[in-house]
Amino acid sequence: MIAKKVCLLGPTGVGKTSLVRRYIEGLFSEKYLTTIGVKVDKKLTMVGELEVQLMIWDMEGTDRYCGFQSRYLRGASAYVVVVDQTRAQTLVEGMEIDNIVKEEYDIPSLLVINKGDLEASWHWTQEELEQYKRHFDAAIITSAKMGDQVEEMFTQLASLACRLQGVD
Amino acid sequence: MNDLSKALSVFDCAVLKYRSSNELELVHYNAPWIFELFDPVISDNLLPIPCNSLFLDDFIPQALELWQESKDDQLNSGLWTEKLSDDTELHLEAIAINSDNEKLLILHNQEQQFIQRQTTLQSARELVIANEVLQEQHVRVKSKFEEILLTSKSFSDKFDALLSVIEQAQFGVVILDESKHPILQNPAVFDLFDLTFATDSIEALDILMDLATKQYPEFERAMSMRENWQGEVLWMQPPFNNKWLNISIYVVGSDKAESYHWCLFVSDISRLKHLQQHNETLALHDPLTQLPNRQYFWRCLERFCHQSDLFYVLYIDVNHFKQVNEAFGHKEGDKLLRELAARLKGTLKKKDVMARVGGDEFAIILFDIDTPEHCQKIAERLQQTAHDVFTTESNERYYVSLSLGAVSYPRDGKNPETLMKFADLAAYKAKSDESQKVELYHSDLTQRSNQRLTLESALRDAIKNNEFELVLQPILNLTTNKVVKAEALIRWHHPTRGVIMPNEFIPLAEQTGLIIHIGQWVIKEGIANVAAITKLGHGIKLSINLSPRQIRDPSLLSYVEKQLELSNIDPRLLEFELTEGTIVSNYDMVSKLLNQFREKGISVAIDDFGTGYSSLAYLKNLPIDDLKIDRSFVKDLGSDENDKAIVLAVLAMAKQLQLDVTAEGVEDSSQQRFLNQHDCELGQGYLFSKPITFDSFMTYLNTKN
Repeated sequence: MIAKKVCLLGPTGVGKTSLVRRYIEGLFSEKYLTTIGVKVDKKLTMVGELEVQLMIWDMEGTDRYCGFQSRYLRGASAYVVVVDQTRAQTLVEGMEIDNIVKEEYDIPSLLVINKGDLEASWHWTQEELEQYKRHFDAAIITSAKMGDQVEEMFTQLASLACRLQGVD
Repeated sequence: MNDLSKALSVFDCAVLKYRSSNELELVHYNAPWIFELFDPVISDNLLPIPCNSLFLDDFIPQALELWQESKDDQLNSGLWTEKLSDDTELHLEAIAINSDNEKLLILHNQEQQFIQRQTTLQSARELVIANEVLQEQHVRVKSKFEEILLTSKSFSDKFDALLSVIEQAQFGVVILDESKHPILQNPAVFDLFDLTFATDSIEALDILMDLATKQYPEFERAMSMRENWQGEVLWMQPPFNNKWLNISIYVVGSDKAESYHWCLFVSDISRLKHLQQHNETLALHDPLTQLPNRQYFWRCLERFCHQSDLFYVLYIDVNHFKQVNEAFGHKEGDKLLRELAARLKGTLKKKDVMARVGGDEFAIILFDIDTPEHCQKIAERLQQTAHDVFTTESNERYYVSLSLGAVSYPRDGKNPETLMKFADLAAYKAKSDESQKVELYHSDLTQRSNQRLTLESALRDAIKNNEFELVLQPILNLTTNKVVKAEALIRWHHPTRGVIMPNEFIPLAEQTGLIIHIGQWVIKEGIANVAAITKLGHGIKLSINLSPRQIRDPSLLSYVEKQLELSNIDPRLLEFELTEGTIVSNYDMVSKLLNQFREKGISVAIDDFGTGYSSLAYLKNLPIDDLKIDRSFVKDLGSDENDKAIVLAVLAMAKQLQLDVTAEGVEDSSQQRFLNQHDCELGQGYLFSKPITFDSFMTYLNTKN
């Protein structure tokens, strides 16, 4: 078994904690509770034949009250930028976070477009979205509420985290 | 360590000492949670590394690095949450210290700080998200409206399309025509006020307009200037109804005077206000700039208006803020507001009150000011502070300026409504003249504002009643004294005031969008004049002025093409004049347009050259044919050595770039002689002829040529 640190980043209120909770506990709550600081959870998953202990760092959303702190990414094997498809601004902010991370770390990244159960209300065209996605190693649409693609998202993340070791 | 233990006992913390890379010594603790983090312990006071905490296992290697260093330092982990075996949560912070050879790790339970931070940020973030969602809904519906309204579909097709958008909108929507009559509205607007929906009722609209007018003294001016506007109003219907409403008004449509609409969006934001009221700091505080907000400022004004102390109110508008947002993004726009707020605040006395009262608007109450001159001095200081360079995160430098309006209590107004209305009016006046440091309110401004409204209405009638006339000013070859070109200029024959010159009504037409209609008239009439001159056997080029707003009009090129086609004139007989400012502020658009003109054979002149940017770069890169030296340099050619030098430099530059040069405002023969001697080929001015009617121009032409 190998352990891998992965970080969930993104603007406030996009559903980072909900994704982790759905993945770890299989639960979802409609009530929004803002994350303060960091919370680390772990879960065992498989990447091919390899057992991987994912250490998932759920970090406080980045906004005017909390700047992005890249030092938490130290030792991480991959990271996720979570955005909310009902708020166009979150993609803009998500891209900014991604740029900051890429300045310091050369690790795989995953774009997660959450709240997939709701109608996408952003104005990005498919072409624009594809362009944004190209900045990441992979992209996935999830719904923490319905549980859609959440398991797949973390499996994909785990396999990205193991990429540097030649797994996957 | 005993004294230290006593002191530490007031904190819920544990102190650990570095022993080796896999052992820490527990020096102090006053709660058992430490043993959950380090379970099992090596012995009574020896704790293992790694431990049970995933976060600490990540932090300790960083602490170890710090402890290897020789210098005194410390490292803070930031807050993290640790779940204990009984499912309770701990909110901890770790501090690694390297001091006087002591290598310590302090783990501090930050429960209180966590709760406080979470309580504050919970409502703040809910607010930010709800606002963001609201704004995005507005923007989405607005862009759908634009898409529909700007198409050339029939009105009934547009109507059906708009109706379907309105029905889906989750907030109140009213679409108004240019006279502010509702042409379409949804039931949600009526629901807000518990009114019965009727498609042609203006009841809900009346309430909204009334609320905005009474609660925002600057609202009427914004409407009359046809500006987009947004505000939050409180609607009260005693005894039970009390609603906070967010009203956004957008102007949608082409710049043509008669084809635009107002889109009014209303959302019930009472829940947001309720969230704000949970937290007094948020209710009266602007989270972006950390300044007090509009509500707080208003309360202060109300309080001070009941006291006898004199004070001034400054209204500040950031010039070109929109351009900063567009050029560098909203994040940089926010950064600018934060930095500017801090700079301005830094120049004020502690007693003065400064608030953010709108998107890019600030207001200040200045105390202990005795004279307008003193107020002016402070305003100049603020302006100077704002003038210092701003730098983006990617190190791009830019500058902003302010429009400042000042009003004095009790001389100019005795209540908050009047003071804010007049201060806004003065700031608006200052905006129209950016060289002005501050505009102090005087009653003329109100009078002028009213006159302006009257003039605007008359200008609309002028278009309908065909009250404009085109006059032509000949442009001569300074060597041969023959007419080679003419400049088309407009005059307005006002039914009661007589002839009004363009400098009085063109700025107004530009602000209100009427310029598009007027400009089209000038182009049409100008081309008709060229056709008539050609028919009479002369090949004279006509130069027509284009304003910034005309340049931005997407239909300009097709309109010109259509008129050329109808008249069948040679496009080489047509020239457009633009000022340097127009080019610089819309460079990409202008560059594309000018190239399209050139493809058609139309030439381009730069008007008032020398008064603006006078940049070689655009002269080199744009398809420009002629430079017109501003009259201010020509006027004192005989006496002012600087003017002489400027004119000679322009002539040399033009020669290098193979551009024609026209000297404007040639009034005497010595000026002509000087220009002639230095190879300035063309000139216009009273020495030759003032602007004259078409018939007089033909007579002049026949005499000269």
